[in-house]
Amino acid sequence: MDLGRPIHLFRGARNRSEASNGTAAERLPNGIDRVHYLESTNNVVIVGTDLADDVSLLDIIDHILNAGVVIRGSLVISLAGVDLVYLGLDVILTSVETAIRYLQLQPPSSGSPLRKSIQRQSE
Amino acid sequence: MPVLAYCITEARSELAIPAAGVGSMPVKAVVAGPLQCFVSRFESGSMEGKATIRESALEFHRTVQELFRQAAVVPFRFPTILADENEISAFLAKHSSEYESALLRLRDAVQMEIRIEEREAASPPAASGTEYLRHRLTSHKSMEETALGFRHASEEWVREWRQREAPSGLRCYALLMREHLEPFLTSMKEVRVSPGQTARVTGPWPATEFLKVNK
Repeated sequence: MDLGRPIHLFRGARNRSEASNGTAAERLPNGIDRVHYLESTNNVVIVGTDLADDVSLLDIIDHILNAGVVIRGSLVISLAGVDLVYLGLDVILTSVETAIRYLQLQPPSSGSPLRKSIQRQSE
Repeated sequence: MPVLAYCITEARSELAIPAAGVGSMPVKAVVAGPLQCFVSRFESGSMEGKATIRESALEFHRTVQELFRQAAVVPFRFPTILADENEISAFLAKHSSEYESALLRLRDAVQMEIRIEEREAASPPAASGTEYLRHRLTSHKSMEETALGFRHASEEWVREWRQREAPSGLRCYALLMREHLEPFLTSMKEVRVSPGQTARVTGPWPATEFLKVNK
């Protein structure tokens, strides 16, 4: 598929001076240039989606957890879908068994709907 | 065998499939009619632990981006795990016309996101509820004006514009042709944002905010 003419690259935070004049460029093997990072002056920050740039890490995580198709029902681990990732970000529930094991480690006072739901499943 | 779903593309695209996805699992295409979905095998327990989740999320992003650089994609939200490939095929068959038309419409297009927020220091604690609401209203109007500034500055390059309120401020989405990314970014630099606000422009992303046609 023809993706049109290349995109100019602005390098990462380590090379802001290069970014400010837009002279840096990196061509990918498939012929498309990457947008990395550019900071301008008027309180506007421009961030690319390349992983080489630490600044964009939060944007990437935020995006993949919040954007995209959600299939409702029929998921193997969709006890609460993405919400589980937000539950603590210290465990992802990859199976009902794992979920139960994890929640059993939590203080008994915690009576969230999710916990109740999983407890019902385990009974 | 459970599979992790990455994204949907048009089946006719001759794409270079990423060699490995999350957990170094091979990525494969499940083709169903005019669409294909990229998946990799998912092993229960393979994503436990904070560091592993983060790494898996980034591997997911890398895989989707690799495909997105070659074609329009409809990504799945991370993590979407299905029982097996049959479920993916059934999902594609059910939503075939919806995603086929979206991918056709969004071919060669990318989405840029502009997040406008108020600086924390710019919002002193309110003495009363009324004062708080007044401040919110003023702040909202100001962010709307900033969004309008971005919209006007880039209107030459933007095919479609959408925006919505978020808890932290205002999120704007611009749909543009991939080839217009550079002039679009240049136009973003020309916008002046008030000292009490910040604007964060990110992308290019798959055009997830434009999958549905505005009526």
